Amino acid sequence: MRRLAERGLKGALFRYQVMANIVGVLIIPLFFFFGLHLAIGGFKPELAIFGVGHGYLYIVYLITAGLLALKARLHIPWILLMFLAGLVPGLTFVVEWLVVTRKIQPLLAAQAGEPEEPVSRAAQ
Amino acid sequence: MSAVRQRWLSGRAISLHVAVVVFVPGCALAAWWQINRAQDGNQLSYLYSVMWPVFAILGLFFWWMLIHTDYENVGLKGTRRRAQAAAATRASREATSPAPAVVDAEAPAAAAAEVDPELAAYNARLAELAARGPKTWGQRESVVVRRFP
Repeated sequence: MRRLAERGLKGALFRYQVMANIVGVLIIPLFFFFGLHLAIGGFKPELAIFGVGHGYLYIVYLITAGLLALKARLHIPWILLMFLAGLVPGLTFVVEWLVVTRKIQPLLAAQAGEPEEPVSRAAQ
Repeated sequence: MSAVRQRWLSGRAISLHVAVVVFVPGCALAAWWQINRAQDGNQLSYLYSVMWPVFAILGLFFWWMLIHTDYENVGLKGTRRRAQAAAATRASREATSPAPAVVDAEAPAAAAAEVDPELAAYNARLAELAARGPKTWGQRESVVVRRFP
């Protein structure tokens, strides 16, 4: 029987994937304009837009990644990797792929082998 | 070691305590620093003076949840362990119990179901809940009141 705490894994995975892609896309112009700002100077409005956008969406990303990790019972190094990935350009895509292929898909496959409905004890 | 001690004083739990004890005051300090910078006129610091308290709250939440996470009965490890246990019991039942015993065990249940299907379903539900054991964070649904060891 699938435990109550494990239901909603696919929804949590979807929310995490959406936020990973949004944050992963947003951080690239942030670092790009930050590099230009260091090299040439200026670019204050671009930095403010992407900085504030990434800053708040990173919080949402942290929540979705943490809830997925709690649902899938990932261990702490994986959670830290997911959290840090939102701060490094390009890393969210890699970490999202790693989490899905190494952790979530085996769990979904293992759950698929179990009966969905509770089996009566008398019938066993 | 009792279950409560295991939960709060295992090596993993203590490293989580240390992490949260370092992280939350660090967030509070950073928030205070950003609030002062915002008051000095730094526009972007208004964002960070909101973000650091949120990080502290998230840290506390995940600390609590990770302390209470049950890795043994749920998740990939727990799912595989349950599948192996179910396969082992099925194999042992097929190896040991002869076919007539199964018929004998099921016959009274079938007769009761004919008498009152609602009562039989209720009894089966109670038996199933009782067999699941006490209520834990991993399984919320239980009729058995949790007893602390």
